[in-house]
Amino acid sequence: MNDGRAGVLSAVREALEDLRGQVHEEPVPREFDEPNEEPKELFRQFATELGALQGAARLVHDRAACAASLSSYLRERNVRSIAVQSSPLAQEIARLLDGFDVSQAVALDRVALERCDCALLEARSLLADTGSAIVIMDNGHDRMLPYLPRTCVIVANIASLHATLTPQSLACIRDAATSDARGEALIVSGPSRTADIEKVLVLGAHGPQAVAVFTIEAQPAGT
Amino acid sequence: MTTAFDRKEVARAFQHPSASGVLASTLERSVEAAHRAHDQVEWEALRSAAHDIKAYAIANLDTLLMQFETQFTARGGTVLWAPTASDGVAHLLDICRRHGATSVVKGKSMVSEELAINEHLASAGIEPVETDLGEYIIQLAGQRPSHIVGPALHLSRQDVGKLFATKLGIAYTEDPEALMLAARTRLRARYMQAQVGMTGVNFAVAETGTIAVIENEGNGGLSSSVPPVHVFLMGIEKVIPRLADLPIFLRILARAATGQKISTYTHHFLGAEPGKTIYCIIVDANRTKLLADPKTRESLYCIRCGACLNVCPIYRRAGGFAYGGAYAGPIGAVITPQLAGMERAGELPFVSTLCGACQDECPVKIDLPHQLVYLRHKAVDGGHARSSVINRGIAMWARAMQDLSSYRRSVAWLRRAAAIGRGVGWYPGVLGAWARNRTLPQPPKQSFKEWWERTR
Repeated sequence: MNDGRAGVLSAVREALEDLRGQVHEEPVPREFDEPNEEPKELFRQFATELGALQGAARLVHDRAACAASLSSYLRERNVRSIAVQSSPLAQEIARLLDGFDVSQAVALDRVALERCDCALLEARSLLADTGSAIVIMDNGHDRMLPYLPRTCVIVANIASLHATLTPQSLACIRDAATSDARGEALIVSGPSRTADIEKVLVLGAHGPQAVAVFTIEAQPAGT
Repeated sequence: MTTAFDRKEVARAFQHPSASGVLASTLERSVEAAHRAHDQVEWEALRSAAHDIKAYAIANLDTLLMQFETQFTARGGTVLWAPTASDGVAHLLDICRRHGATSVVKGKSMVSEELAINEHLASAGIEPVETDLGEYIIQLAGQRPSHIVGPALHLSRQDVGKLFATKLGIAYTEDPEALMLAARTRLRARYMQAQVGMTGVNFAVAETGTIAVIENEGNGGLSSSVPPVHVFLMGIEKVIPRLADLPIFLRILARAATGQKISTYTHHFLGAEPGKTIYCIIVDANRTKLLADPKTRESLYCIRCGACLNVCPIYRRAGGFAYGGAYAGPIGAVITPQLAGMERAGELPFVSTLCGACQDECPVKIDLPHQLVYLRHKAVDGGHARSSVINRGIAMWARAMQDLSSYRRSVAWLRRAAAIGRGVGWYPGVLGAWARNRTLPQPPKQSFKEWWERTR
């Protein structure tokens, strides 16, 4: 099935014959600076950018406050069932929620996941200048979470908030991409959208119509 | 694949000014949004950096492709190599058969259009399901994409409303949100049923064997995560050296394509998790022809943002179908003659005003105008430049110009013929096609020389 390998590679080498013997310096990677902004200032920028994308950002003091604020947000949206990513912070917040039908995403098949009202994910990094959250998902069930439920909620620690796409903010992707991790690193920036009909923006194209990011200020004791 | 410049499509665009008006105003809004987005960053520095990375990647393509293969395989994936378009199709059909697929849900992929994957899947009894809204619309309409990024930009909301009413049996609406919801509802069921999902590739990182796919709707995410098998379909030129190169492209791609700071979903696929099977089909399909010619090699730097289409005065008026193939606009006029052959698409490099707007707009600084001029020379030298009717006309004109009396006789004859044609509103052959959408000026009753000799 793979006889084409030699064919493609030899055609490429032949095509590059005129460059043979020439030294091509690998361009030095362009690295973007991480400005020394206060976390609260970064959060303000993050919230503004995510708001411009029709997403919501809330700053909460600690995990308990996060669960309370999240509960209120979910009730406003008539959310009853929640599927949770198998990541520590998402799991911890899910345990603090009361009055919802909470399930582990890994225990649900695609049909059951599709029936859930809300996905609860953990961001490993937040990007203030684009209102983006980076989520690492290492199993097939978690990978469907950002798209199948109608509402997507992401929780993160404020320490994960960065100004922009810098080596620091992308370290979680680099760690995953250079380790044995499988699955997907996803940069999600607001609700699913399309403008394929006359460039008119419509939210909730295939994925969630609502995306909210809850950022927790206080670190748990011992961290 | 049809590739020749399609004059009938141009004529259709001229006959339906509302359709081309929708396209032109939509593209103008895209350009304005892109320019606002450029101003947020060091645009020129980013363009130069992206150009340099692509130049390095293309100059070291064999090494980087092998490195990517090693790393992708180590992540549990299978790489399949396709020297020709039919090899690419055969690989995909083989995967579908092996996994018992009766349908394939597809994210957006220009290589898929180029290889006419939908037609081949359907011929093999496997249903292709386009899931990007624009692609879904044109699949229902039985059309081809007219734009790299916005496949259905040539259609108005009324067109889509009528199409959905006819094909999906919903009540007519021209509300984009209601139309989207109708598509979403139907496509959700298709994701759940499909055994194979397929997406294109924006960037394949050689260093890590990981793949970046960028989109806004979430259909790429669903196509890649819900079915148990995921096939990436990529051209050989999609490889970049390092993960550290990716942020440059993430900064420029969405800005150039849609004027966004970043697209809604940037997927970075890390390999096959338990229960998942992934393949990457790496397609040449004549890309090595572009690579072999130092004058056209740079066209392989293209990141398929569609920015050159948005600013092209020809594309804006004629629309994407006129280009005849998968790739429209200035980049299509450069790469299609090489991918499909000069004998089939040698006219495309002439479909340009050479105004240079495409080069100014290109986020990886591809010198499109000089490549168009170079390909025009190549087409003329190879005899692929004009239709035989035009060539015969030019030969006749050359003969008429050989002496003064035959020139005068010819001009007098043409003047009379033009006056008659204008009077009856009909011209023969290609002149008729040309004049259909233009008004010829009234020819003077006498030439300047005749007037001068009479009045001096």
